[in-house]
Amino acid sequence: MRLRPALIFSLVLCAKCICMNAQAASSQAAAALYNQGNQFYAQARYEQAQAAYESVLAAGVHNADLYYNLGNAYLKAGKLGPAIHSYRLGLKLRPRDQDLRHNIAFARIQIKGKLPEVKQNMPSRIGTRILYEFSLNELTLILSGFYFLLFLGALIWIIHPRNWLKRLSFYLLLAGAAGFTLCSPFFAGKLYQDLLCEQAIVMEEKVNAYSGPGELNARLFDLYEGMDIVVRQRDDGWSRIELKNGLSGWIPESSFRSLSLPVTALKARP
Amino acid sequence: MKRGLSVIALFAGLFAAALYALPALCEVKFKAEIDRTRLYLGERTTLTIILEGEGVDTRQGVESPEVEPHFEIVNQIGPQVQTSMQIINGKFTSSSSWRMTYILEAREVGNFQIPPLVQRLGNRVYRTEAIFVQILEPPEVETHEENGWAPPEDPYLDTKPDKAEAYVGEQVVVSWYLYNHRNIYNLKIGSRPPLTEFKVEELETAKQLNPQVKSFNGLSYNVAFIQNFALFPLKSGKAAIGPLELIYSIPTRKADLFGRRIYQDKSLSSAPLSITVLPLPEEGRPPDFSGAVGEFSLDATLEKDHVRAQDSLNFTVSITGTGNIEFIKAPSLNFPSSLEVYPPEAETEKMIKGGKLVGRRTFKYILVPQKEGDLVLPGISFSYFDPGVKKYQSLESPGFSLHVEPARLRPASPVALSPDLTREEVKLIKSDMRYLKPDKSALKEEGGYLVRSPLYLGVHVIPLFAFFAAYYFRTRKDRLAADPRLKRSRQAHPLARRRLRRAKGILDESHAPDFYAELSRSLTQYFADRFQMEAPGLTSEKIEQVMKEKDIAPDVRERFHLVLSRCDQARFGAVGSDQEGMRKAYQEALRVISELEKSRK
Repeated sequence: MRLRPALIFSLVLCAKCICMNAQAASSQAAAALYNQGNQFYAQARYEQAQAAYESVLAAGVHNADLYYNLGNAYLKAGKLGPAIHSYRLGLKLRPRDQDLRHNIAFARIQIKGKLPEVKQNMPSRIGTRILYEFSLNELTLILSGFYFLLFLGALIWIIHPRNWLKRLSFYLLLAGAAGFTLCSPFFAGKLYQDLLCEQAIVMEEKVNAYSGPGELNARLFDLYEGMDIVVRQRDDGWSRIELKNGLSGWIPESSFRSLSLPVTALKARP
Repeated sequence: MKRGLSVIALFAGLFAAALYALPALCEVKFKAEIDRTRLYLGERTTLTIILEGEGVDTRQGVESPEVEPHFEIVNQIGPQVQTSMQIINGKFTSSSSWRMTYILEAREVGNFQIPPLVQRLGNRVYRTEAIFVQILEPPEVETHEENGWAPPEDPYLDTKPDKAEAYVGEQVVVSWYLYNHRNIYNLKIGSRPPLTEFKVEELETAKQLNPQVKSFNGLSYNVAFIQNFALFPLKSGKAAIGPLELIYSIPTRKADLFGRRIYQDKSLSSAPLSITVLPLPEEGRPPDFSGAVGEFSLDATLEKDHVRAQDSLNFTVSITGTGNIEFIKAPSLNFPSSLEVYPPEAETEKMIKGGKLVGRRTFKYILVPQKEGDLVLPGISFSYFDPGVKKYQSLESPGFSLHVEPARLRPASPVALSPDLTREEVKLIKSDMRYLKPDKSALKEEGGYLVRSPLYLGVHVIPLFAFFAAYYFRTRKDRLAADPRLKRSRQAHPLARRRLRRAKGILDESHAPDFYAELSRSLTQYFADRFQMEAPGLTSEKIEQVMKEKDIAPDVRERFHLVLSRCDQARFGAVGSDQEGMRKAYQEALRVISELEKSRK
């Protein structure tokens, strides 16, 4: 059954080579496959639905709706880790999607264990909130906007024509500089979160975290399927991971899946 | 003459104003008011004397009324003085009010008249009306002499328990009353009585004294409730009720620097007291008795009579009554084992009814039937000791029947929930996951990061270049604007090229002289602009001299002269003016000028 969608898609890929408008064709083909996944889902054939959605991903199309539906298919099949993984990827693309937010929260309450949470102070709560509300591309565009505003102001200021324009240029300069300074820490934070550090989701039902790479080390704490972790270091099949509350330990590399979005060809719009 | 008239008019006006104001002047009120005219011996009443109106001299005051011997002035409040000023129709008026309140206590039986008060104001005399008062013998009922008992001292704090004997856990209400004949001030409660042998519930504390007048041995006393407690004895034997302390102050004869009365603080304690506490009888004690003493009623309710397996339902048991409501323990439930029972949540409501503490203790159980079927739940029983009839009583609620339906369909994966969920998470569990996003005709690619796109990053270099370019052009423009000589020299070349282009426009044989004239003019003008000279008086000697000074290479100098002289010759017909020659001359001129440009430092 897994083969059929793949076959259809490879046929579609051939068609794509012939077609002049390759982009549009591939997106239509991806949509066809995606719709087929939805059909499987509606018939409660969740395994087939997963296969259909995943073949779209394998063809290199990344879309928040696709990740959402894939996450649903996983969750219905009782695969908590992959479901949360898929929702997280979807949220990276579309952080304010209410369906994604609801279903990831619904999935997370099914995580078998809970680790103590750390209370954040006010400024860091606001920071986290802003990072949660915007995607990296959105923050990039906002920062660029302020950057261009700043230089536009500077240009008009240098050319210094008539008085009112000069005053305008001063305000532009000020607004650009203020916005740029204000946005850059958030941009840097998001950049760090999404690109510079490796986030991952625990995939096994229960994972023991050790004080060093290997099971001979002391056992520190347990992780459960679906938990968010950050990978800090890799060593011979083991990884040192860190949790949001600061706990850190070593777990086998096979027990989690990295959350990096594949680097794909860029389009003009995010 | 005119001035005389206006003066008369002014006086006439003033006179009219005075006439107009006269009736207002006369309005003076002087009265005496009493709040009741019929009272019993020992009761108190207030007499208020008011004097108000225009021109009242508040400093003068009013004489005290003659009320003795029927009344005694216990206290006097005031005088309260108020003055208001206003301007009406340009006239200034001031009106004052003077008010004095006397507290009178009836001292002698009989009909009595408070004589009118007389007040002289200017040349007028005002008088109040006489007040008739009837003072009666106090009625027999009101005399409160319990077997000749009288407060042993003044003031006196009495402790009154509602019973002298009580069972362990029975409610005893103890009240404190204050008796005082003389006035006392600034009353407050000093310390709570030590009551270590009881569980104490505070019932009421008087926020404001609400005294009743009673007479003991011919003296009238104010009797006021202070505080009461509900006490539940904890063990049998003698239980002591400690003294309550009050703090008050009484006026002394001394006065301070400003003539104010000095008060002295005193304290007052009630006499300690003990009551007998009886143990609860052993005989007839039901096995499920858990220490409740008082009068109670039992109520049990099941939330619904049908439920799905694995769903929860509430079962509430509430016990209402007078007594030690907080001592009541949750009754044990003997429910079938297929019904999971979670430990109850207990809630206590307390209130005061008829001077006693009554309350309701509610136990909320959560029941989860494990499998479908019909269940019969036995009634709940509850036992207590009723001290009124000195017997144990048992209550039993009716039983319940519960129909359990098959369990609701669960998601494919068994949702094992972690026990410590927050409120929001519990809300979330009750909702389900949301459904799929709809079908699409095209699935847009949304992946990829802008920060990784070289094109996107490259765009950001543009403003940097634009910035430096703008800066360069700005400084250059400023330099030229500041130095006209430099500007002329800089613009020599473009100007010359423009002129040469014009010459090229007329490059044909019929216009040969014009062409050469234009060529020659462009060259000399260029030279003049470049070296800051005047074009008209430029001879070839002069040009040569300047070129030498400026270190122009000799071959360039020569070519410049050659072009110039060729132009001159052609203009005056010395050489043939064919098209080819014209073009050559034109190109040579262009080349010479650009050679000269190169020599610029």
